[in-house]
Amino acid sequence: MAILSVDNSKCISCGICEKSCKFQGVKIENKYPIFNDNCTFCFECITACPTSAITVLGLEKKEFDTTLWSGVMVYLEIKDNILSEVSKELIGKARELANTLSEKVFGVVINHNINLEELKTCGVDTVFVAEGEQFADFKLDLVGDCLHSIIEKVKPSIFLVGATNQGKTIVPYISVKCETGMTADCTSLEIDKNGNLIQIRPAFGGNIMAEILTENSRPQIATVREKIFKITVDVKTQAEIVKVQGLEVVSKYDVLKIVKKAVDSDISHAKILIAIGNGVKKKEEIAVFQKLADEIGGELCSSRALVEAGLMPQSRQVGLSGKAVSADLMFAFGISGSAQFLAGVGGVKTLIAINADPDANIMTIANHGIVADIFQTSAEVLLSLRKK
Amino acid sequence: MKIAVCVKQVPSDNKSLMDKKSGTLIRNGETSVINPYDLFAVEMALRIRERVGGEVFAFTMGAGSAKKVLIDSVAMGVDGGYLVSDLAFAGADVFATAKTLSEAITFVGGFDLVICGRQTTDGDTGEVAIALATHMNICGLPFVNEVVEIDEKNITASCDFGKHNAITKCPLPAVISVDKDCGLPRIPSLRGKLSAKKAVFPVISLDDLFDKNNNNYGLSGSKTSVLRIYNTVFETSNNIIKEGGLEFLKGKFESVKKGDL
Repeated sequence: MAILSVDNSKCISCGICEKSCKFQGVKIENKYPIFNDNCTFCFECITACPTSAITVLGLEKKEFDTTLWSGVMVYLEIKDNILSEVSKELIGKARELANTLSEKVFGVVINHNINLEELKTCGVDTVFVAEGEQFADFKLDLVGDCLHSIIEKVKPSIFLVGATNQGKTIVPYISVKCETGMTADCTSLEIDKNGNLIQIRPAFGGNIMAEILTENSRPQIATVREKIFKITVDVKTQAEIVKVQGLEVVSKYDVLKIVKKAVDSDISHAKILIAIGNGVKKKEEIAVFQKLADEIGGELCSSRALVEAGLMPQSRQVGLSGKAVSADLMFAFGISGSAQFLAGVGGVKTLIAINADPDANIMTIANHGIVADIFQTSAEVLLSLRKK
Repeated sequence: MKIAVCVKQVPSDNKSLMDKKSGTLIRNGETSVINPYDLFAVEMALRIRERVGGEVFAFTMGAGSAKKVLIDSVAMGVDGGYLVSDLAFAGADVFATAKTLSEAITFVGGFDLVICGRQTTDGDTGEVAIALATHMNICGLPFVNEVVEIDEKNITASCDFGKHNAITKCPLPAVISVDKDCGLPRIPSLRGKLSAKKAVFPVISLDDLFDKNNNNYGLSGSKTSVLRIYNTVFETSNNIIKEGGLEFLKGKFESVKKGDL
């Protein structure tokens, strides 16, 4: 069993560990830190400790031969009969990682009516294709078991999946079946000196970044949201198509009906966005920003706080647990700029932040940071737009 | 019908709870709260109980203080709860969390349906429900926004897959994760609060579980490890406009309106 241990000879009794803990898992008693059962092993105290006095003890090193696993595999999700955007983005990242490792890029697609021509030039070295009527509707056990068998045969070291709702369903299934780790919503992926995948994502509510490893099992599975990485297609590569027989499994699931949703304008593709954040507290305060958006043909979106408060729909949330956007121009009103939010705006070309607090995170990453009251400012801008 | 609902205690300092009337943060001096998404899971469980009868039990995995979220659940109307707590469970990632919950739910036994919130506000992965179903080797329906039909044998639910909902039927027992569209969580009644005060919650520890190998739980049983965490460092910007910001903004909006980005 793992425990946190303090080297009393290094500890200077500064109390930083106690202050750094979000869970009240450590208290200074008789000069030295004592950990209690609130500790979640988030390691914030280890990082915060100025003298590196805290370490983890009792972690058994598991033996796992990672050398049998090689290559970067991408789950190719088909949407409306074409390769989804996020799959294309992941192919580019997979190629970059594979080049660092001197390994290959694989694609895997499990669907009905697959356009093989598109797959040949999608930028991977080999595509494993399982095609059949049984895959027309997504059934977790059919797709999951087929995918599991392909992974067991091909043994990719890394498996990348788009963080769509389908991807987020497949990944935990595969991860448990393969007894390996999964890291959700990575915003950056790198290779360390041992060839392991460093999976970077905002953590603990989104104000801290965490680097996560899957050292002792394979594949290393990561999901990434749309628009986090850019599409970089390697057209020179002609992919080899390898057809895989679907397994003879009867699904426990029965998809009775597919109900297309009413087309809500998608904020991830909007050119102009007006984003509102925690500075907005009440439903009636939102109207002025909607009007501003309407005036300039933009879409209204928000940070997580307003969605959780029930003031904005989930489909309009920007950030790690919402959508990544790539607008040409975003006006951010009353948004502080947590790592959780910033994870979604990497693709924004020009960001103009309006905030009463000159020290808000958003002000430092914005192209222009305007220190002002958001309500007064928005009302006056709206008035001046309407006068003309 | 016997229903398990998984709830989690999360830190409250990510400004997610706002009092809509006063516009202030709800703190009550508390640093941790029930994961807001789990309130929808509890609500769904109670609605299913109202439809088909039965019992609902909340499960939470965490330190002793996590008992608070069981009290919250009972106050809303849940029949009872279990605190899944052991030092060996601490530091679990998605894989190990789902493993622990699966063992705990199996230990109590007899559940037809397990309901989880779509994600937590601290871990934010949205992956535990399906991992739990896979560990338990039963069906899992993700991102449910409506339970269309449920009887002793099957559940039919609408699962959100982005541009469409898939109305999917599967046999029970099953795990579902519920979205925020499934119905507003109820406010605890006075009677609920009173019974929550009196409620006693059994603790499930490692010794109770079928698999007692502590290497399969918590930090040791996790497949991922945190290499390091760091605060994102922001340098001071040179682009801050303190004077004349309004005029700048008016000009920008006017040119955008004319089509000039």
